[in-house]
Amino acid sequence: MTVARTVDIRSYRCPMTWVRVKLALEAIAPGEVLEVLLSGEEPARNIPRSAADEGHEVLGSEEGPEGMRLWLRKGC
Amino acid sequence: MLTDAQIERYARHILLREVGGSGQRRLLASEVRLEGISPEGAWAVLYLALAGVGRIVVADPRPVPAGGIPPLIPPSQAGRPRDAAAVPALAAHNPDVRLEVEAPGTWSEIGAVLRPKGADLLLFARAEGEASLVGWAEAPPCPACAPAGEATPEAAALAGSLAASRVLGFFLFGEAPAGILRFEGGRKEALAPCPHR
Ligand SMILES: [Zn+2]
Repeated sequence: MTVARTVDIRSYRCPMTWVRVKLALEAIAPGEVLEVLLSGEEPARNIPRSAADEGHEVLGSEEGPEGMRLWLRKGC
Repeated sequence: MLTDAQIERYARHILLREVGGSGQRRLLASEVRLEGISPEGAWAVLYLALAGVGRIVVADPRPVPAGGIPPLIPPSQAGRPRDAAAVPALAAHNPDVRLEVEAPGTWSEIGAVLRPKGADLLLFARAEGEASLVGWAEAPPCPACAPAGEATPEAAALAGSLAASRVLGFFLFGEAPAGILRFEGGRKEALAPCPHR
């Protein structure tokens, strides 16, 4: 999996977390993968849901020492 | 690219699927001229400034009346030219917008006329009694078709906000269907085109 872009939303709160992810998704092409670096329960719950609602594919996530990495494939 | 401050300022727009970051950048690159700082015009131009329309030109040298022009111009500005008073008032709401007074400008004696850059038609907004008239036309209706008279503040506010949403619809989606609509008491009807212009 090639990551086209990474966005770090660890310093933002809702709704700016999704605003930042949405802008990052706008900046890549359909089919490309966005990596989201996040921390906390709220974005871990809401970002995948919002992304799926807007037609993007949630590829998976991984917990790490610096937070959670989430991968989204941009929809058409 | 949007700056951090702009992302904060326009977050509500960016969240809308129909707008997003690309739509907001389109608004910031757009331009509109307001001819006539009536109550209808004041509401419309305030919404457009808040929405982040990048450049707004205002024209109306008539003096501000004693009560100001709600919601934009306070009574303290009474007697000043309306366009000159509108510029600092709009700048206070959104420092992103480039504002300009067109002098000598033309202005509408009836309601307000908005001319979005790139549109073939103008957008007319007018409150009449309790009715709000809004729509795209080649020219504003003549005084016989849209008679002058007192209007309620609510009708002016509705006319202005409907006008602003139509201008934003043009910038975002290119929509500007010809025809003036009359809204009153929850009813909507098409106004017969003015045959005198
Ligand atoms: Zn007429």
